[in-house]
Amino acid sequence: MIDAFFSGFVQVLSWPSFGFMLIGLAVGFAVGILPGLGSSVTLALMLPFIYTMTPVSAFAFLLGMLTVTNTTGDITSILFAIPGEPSSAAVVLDGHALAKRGEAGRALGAALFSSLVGAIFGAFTMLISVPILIPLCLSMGSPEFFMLTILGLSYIAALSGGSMTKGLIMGGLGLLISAVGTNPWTATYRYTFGQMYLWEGLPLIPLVVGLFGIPEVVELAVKGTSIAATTDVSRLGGVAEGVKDTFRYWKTTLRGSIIGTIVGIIPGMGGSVANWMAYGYEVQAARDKSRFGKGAIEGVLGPGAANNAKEGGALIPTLAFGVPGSGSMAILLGAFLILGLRPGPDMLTRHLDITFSMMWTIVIANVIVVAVSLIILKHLAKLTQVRSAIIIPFILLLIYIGSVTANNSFGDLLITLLFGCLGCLMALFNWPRAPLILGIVLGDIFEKNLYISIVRYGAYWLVRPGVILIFLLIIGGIFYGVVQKKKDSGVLKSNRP
Amino acid sequence: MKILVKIRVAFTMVILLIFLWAFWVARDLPWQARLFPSTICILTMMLCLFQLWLDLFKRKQDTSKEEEWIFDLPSKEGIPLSLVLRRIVNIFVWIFGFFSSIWFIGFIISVPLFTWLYLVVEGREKWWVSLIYTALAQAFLLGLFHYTIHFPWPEGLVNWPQEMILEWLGS
Repeated sequence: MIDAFFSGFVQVLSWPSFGFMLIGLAVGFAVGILPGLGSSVTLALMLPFIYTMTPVSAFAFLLGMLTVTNTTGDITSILFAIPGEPSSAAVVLDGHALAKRGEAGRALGAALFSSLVGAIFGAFTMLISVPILIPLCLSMGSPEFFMLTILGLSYIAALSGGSMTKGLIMGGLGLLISAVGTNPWTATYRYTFGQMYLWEGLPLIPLVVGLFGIPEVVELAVKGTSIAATTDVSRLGGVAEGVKDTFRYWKTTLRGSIIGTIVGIIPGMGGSVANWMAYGYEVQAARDKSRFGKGAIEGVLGPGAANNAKEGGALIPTLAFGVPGSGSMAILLGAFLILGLRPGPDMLTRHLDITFSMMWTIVIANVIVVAVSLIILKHLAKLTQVRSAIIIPFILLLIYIGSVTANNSFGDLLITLLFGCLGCLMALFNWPRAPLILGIVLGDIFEKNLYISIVRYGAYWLVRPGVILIFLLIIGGIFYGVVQKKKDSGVLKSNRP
Repeated sequence: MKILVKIRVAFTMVILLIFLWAFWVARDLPWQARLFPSTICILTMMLCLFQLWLDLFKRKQDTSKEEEWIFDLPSKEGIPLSLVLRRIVNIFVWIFGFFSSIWFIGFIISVPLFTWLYLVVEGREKWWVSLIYTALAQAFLLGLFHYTIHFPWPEGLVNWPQEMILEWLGS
């Protein structure tokens, strides 16, 4: 095993694998920064290139690209409130708020370094935890997955800001939006208005880009200043501060990494869930919830770490049983077949060096991209000082091109505009946007697993040990939040003169 | 301010109506397809009614926050409300204008046209400086999306000018 561990490392760094990884990194960097160009689509487009490669080179190329998209996706989220990837959307809330305060460098440093820590955590967990997680994963069924989505939805209360009612309504609207499209059980169309475009439901990227991006453009135009309104970004909150924050708030980074890894392991949860769950957990666990959404660094660190840790987690079921943990992993599974590899016990015995090389690819790729990014971050942060009248056309270009690349359809642009207007109204009347996205992201998994649970187990699914355990966790979380709120209000009252 | 309070109530009403409509439409679906949206609609409609009650009656008691309107601007930054509203209308004209232009003549022509016009009219940049920025935007668009990933550009309503340019550019 030790031999395979070092052999994997050497193979990744040897030629031509390292060269292919660098190409993958360059592609992943661009894909991650540009909204709409999804990592899954790019992986699929790159598959034909691996036919002549060795397995180590092929995975260095593909995995290098995949992990980097998650890391760099946070950059546009922080600078312009336009998520580069759907899995970077949660970073917008506090990351962009920090950028507006003139602390874009700090937010970018924190996002990149927490991503690096998350990636390393996820990659090493992948190998250490396989013997423990295989039986655990196999014991989980639809009822447990359903309860996990309920756990995710329980964070809506924490994400609601000042008004829980508004947050719950928006969560409900998100769930309703997720119901748009073809119902898989009956093959009936719900809320599609006879439009073929809506058969597969509303696409996430145009929706998120509109909901967060358009209101930011409007706000910029109204203010008439730069993104970082009056502050000098070179003086306030540098990149080094963000890097230090990753270790200063090490519990947050670790929690995000754990949540990301767990969500990654669970097949079908999807990449977007991990960072919202990490964000929701941070808000719920925080003593002062009012800081979130206004530039709390924990709101960047948690999702940043979760975002990358999930890739290592998602590799576990992919390698161990050939069950892809996410859409990208499903495409990566195709790469296994192209290369003549069979996921399963062989990957942990005969091909252990390849498995280790995958782990090393995730680690090395992230180290390289963070090092390169750190060099250019200061210049990127200066973009927040460009006058609004100059930066607005470029942001609008990113918004429109980012949304249209989802389906190459004008429908994407319409969705962006529609949700852009909704986002503006929500910002205007102080309605929280995060619960809406959480509802959309979890809605599909929620309905699917509830239906399977009822059909497969009847009412008995409610008394499964896993269900009861997760239910107790949810109740415990809510109870903890209520007790903490009462405690804090007690402290406030006693401090009042 | 009264108008804005009315709009706030109207916004909650619109959300309530959306759920009401979704519930009504779901009646015709088979139960497997109806169960999820109907349950969501019933629960959220109750919440909407509660929010409406808050907007109509509770809000009046808390008038101190009424100043924090329109992206927190009037109270914090001292920009008159009329100017804020004018700027909002102005930017929406540009946002919808850009969209309409893409829909009408396609991306390849709309991007440089919009970028240049916005920089000259709103940015008050010199025409040649605007031209440099526009060239950068177009180079990004063509270099990455056209030449590198061969993006299939959606057709505009009047597509021949875009088609002609794409033909001239080659691949």
